[in-house]
Amino acid sequence: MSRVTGQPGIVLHTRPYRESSLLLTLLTPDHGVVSLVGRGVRGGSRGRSLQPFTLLRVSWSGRSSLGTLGSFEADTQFWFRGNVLASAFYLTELIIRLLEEREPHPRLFAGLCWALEHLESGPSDVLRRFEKLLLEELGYGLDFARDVSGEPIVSGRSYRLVPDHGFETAADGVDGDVLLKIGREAFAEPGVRRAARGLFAEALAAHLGPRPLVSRSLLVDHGR
Amino acid sequence: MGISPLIDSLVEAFQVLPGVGPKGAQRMTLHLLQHNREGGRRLAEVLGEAMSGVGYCSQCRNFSEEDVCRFCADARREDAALCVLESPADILAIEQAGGFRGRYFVLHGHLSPIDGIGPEELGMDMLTRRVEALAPDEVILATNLTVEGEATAHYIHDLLKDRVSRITRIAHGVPLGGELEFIDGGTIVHAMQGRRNFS
Ligand SMILES: [Zn+2]
Repeated sequence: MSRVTGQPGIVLHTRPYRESSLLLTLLTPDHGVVSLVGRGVRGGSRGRSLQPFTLLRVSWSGRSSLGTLGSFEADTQFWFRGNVLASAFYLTELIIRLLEEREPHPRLFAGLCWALEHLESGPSDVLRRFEKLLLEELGYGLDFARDVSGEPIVSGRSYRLVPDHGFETAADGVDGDVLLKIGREAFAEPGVRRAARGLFAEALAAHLGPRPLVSRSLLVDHGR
Repeated sequence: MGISPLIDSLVEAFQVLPGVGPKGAQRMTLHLLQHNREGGRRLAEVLGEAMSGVGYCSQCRNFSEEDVCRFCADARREDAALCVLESPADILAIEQAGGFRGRYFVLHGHLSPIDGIGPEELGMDMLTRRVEALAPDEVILATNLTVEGEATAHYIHDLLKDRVSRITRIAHGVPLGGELEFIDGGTIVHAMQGRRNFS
């Protein structure tokens, strides 16, 4: 298998390569994260559409881990600004840091498309849903219905997260009611959003390792 | 396997240059040996000096072998406008196009989380200090009109908005996705002239 044609893809990252080429990282449904060299596309009008967050139809060849970009056509170019852009970088940084290359991820691809379309209207909701989906796709999805001992999670009882295992009852943790709402992706209440943010960050941190996420540092007003 | 070990290493060494492959490197090597040994010696000498002598301007991060570069040292240039750029090549593009007499600040890159390049790597502290020292009326954000260039412009805007009364962005006459280095002089003049308040 050395040739792929007409695969949808989202540009996650580009980097100049040699004088006039680009190194391109894409997320595709059937081949997951793919790295390609776009020869001679840098600086020209063709290369200009190869920006992060562009949805493409793309062909490539080559069996090694670094393929060669063939024909491509840009469908949609998302152009974010400010903190929404920082959030979009956060999504791509998570994907590149956590996913192995060339493993199919159709659900995650659909999830990223959805996230990019809705990021502008409510960044924090979108980020939480994406983090939840990403954990599931990595095989570390959290069970918000049952605790680690198999008992149903109930409102009025307090729980804490054991990364990669699930929730166990704890004296001062998150209320079961909040967990049930996170499980239903009902992020309307600020308290639920805050708890979800903390829990997903903790669950992802177990896999990100000690190197901090650079996209977090793009939010200037943080901590001021 | 070539003519001799020294020639082989020279051919290999030339290939660090952008756009130079094995064929081109071989041509350069043989040319210097056959036709221009004097030029070759001079190249080696200047290359050595430049590689060890060129550092960064302590005020604007432009390349310079002096502590302060020629643009920062030039008293005839105006402190009222400070232009922030991704690369020294962008200074050359703007200087060749003409018309800008203010100061520069060079980031040497753009924000790129996936490459591990955050605000610190781009010298944002130094930029803040430079703005405080110059007290310019206007800061022009001339980073590339790419996603990363926009992210960088936004970050700098948020960083400086309480310190500078006017922050502008070069016009979108530069095509979206455009890197300044690849844009002709006329377009840069338009982009600088047509700059708009950044918000
Ligand atoms: Zn200088």
